[in-house]
Parts: sequence; C-alpha cells; structure tokens
Amino acid sequence: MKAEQEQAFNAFVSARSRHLLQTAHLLTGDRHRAEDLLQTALTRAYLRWDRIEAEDPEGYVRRTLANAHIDWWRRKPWREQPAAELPDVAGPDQAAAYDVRDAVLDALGGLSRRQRAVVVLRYYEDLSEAEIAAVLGCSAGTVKSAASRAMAKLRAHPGLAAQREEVA
Amino acid sequence: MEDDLRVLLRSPALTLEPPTTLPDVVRRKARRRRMRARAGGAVGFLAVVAIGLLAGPGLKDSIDGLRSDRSQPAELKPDPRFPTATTEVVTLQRINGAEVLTWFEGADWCTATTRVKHQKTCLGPINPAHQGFSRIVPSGSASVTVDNEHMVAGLVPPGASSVVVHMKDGREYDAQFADGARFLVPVWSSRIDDSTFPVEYYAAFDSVGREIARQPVASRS
Repeated sequence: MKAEQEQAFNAFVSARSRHLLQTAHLLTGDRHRAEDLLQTALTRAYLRWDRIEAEDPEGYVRRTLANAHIDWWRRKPWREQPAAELPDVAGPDQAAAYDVRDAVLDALGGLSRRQRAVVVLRYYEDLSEAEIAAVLGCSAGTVKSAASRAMAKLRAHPGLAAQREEVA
Repeated sequence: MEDDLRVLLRSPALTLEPPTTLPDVVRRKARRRRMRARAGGAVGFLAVVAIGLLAGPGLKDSIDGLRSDRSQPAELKPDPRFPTATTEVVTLQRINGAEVLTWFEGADWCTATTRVKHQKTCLGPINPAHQGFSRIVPSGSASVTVDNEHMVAGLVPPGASSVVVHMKDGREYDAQFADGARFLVPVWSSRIDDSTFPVEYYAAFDSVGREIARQPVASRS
C-alpha cells in the first residue's frame, strides 16, 4: 500500500472506529468479540483499500461486520451464548448507565443473528430496508419480516420496556 | 418504540473506546493473510499446471464435444454419488468439512450427508401444490446430522419468502433456501443447537413478513 493510502486508512480508522466498534458491540454483545469482529472487517478493508477507498469504505466495513458476524455463528453455533453476566462490573455511580447497557444487550441477545443485524443496521446505522437487504444479501421482504419479528420481541422485553419509559 | 430504540442503541453506556493499537494490529493481520495467500497461490498454480498436463487432451475433447452439441437441450449430468437422483444434487450446508446434500428421486425428496452416505432419507411422494409445511427432516436424523451438530430441513411452503425455526426456549434460527435444476420444490435448511431445548414450531413468512404457515413439533418423550 502506498504511503498516502496508509495515511488515508489510518485517518479512516481513527475517525470511524469508535462508531464501527459500537456497531460490532451491538451485534455481538461482548467487548472482546466486538474487537475481534472489527479487526476482521478492517483487515479485509485494508487488503482491498485501493478498490474501496474511492467508493464507500465505511459501507464495506459495515457489510463485512454484519456478514462476518452471521458467518461466525453459522460455523460455530455453540458460541451462541447470551451473556448472563456481562464482563465488566458496574460501579455504584454508573448503575443507571449499566442498567441501560444490560437491558439493551439482553434484549438484543434474545434475537436471532439476522434479526439482530437488521435491528442494528436499521436503528443504529439508520439504513433503509432496501439498503439492509443489499448489506445482508437477502430480499427486502426477508428484512421486513425479520424486523417485524424482532420488534415484537423487543416490545415484549421487560428490561427494555423499563428503559424506554426512562427515555420517554 | 422505534425512536426510543434509536436513543437506547446510541446510549453512551454502550460506547466502547477502540484500542489505540488497532491500525497496527490490522496491518499485522493483513500482512499475515497476504503471506498465506501467496503461499497458497504458489501451491495452487503448481497444482493447476500438473492437472493441465494430465487432463489437457481429455478436456479439449470435452470442450469440442460441447461445441458440437450446442444446439441440443442441456442434459442433467448424473451424479455418481446418487445415481438414482432425477435432479441436481445440491449442498444445503457444510459442517466440519462434510456436506449435507439434497435432491429429488422422481416424486421423493431425499437428504444425506457426505459423512454417512448409506444413511440417506427419502420422503414422498411430494405434492408441490401442498399448502403449508409438507415434509420436514427433523433434528437428529442421520441424514442431516454431522458430528453431533444438528440441522433441520424441509420443503419450502408455496409463497414463503423466509422460514424460521422457533425453539422451546424462545430462540429462533433463520433458514436458508436452496434450489436446484429440476427441483420440484425449493428446500429450506437451518443449523440449530437443540442440545438444551428442542424445536417448538416452524413458521413460514411471505415477502411482507406475514406468517403464512406454522408447523408445531410434537414433544419428545
């Protein structure tokens, strides 16, 4: 990779890695797996940087995050373990923040991988159904049905309902 | 609900600080992958040259044959693994290096794995016009199980855009669809983990997300 491309890649990582890491965190529900997933996606982007730089590097990384996450599960379904306890310990002054985090990750953990990807892409990344279908390589109808089933589950989640009341 | 969810997903409580070493880690990983790809490429090139030398003349004859037969309708090439198949043999899933395969034999729908070839399962006769779920090979059947890893497979109900396997503990698994030359009906399949809770029901949805069919599963004794 040329020096200016290296610079552009570094600039992209420093500008967007926090946002993309949060996407990975919402997809995986675990900090370490989120970092692994982001590393995988950025490595693929680095190797294709000369082709994707001028187009949409963030879109490429987002697509890789969502699909690599689903593929990991297909290869190793036994890894599908909704975390009963989250790795970090809540301090007393952070209790409210950890309540939000626990509720959101627990609610997302009850969804299938595709439903979870659809929710994250729709409500965190603000993509349209057609854009999500293109990212996940499925039909808009599949996205619509996954979203509707995911929202029904999220509505019924008691922890998330409590947090939604706080937000409202 | 949608707006609340947007706010919650953007909550600072969910924000993580990326490691400062991230670009260096990515560069190191990329370098390793490139080296592996180059090593693999060299081996692949030598393999292609060797195959070319061995199979070149036969290949040329085959291409010439294809050229002269261009006007003929395409014939389905028999699959030597399953000589009685009347359709293409399609891979549903790959598990630990083995493949779960599906095909039709006349009006019967069949599945088998490349791990245990003599354990093929054929169900039929199939009626492609049947509404709802017709045939399902359940989890635990030898023809869809590899190394204790479970799968379920079935025929796609007419009008279905997606199929979901709903477990007794509330988990859901999305199914993948597969279709092949001369298939009577497309086939769905899904890898599942039923080590703790079994399947409760299968549901099919149309292109706008409406549930159009549901098949409950009888409890295991």
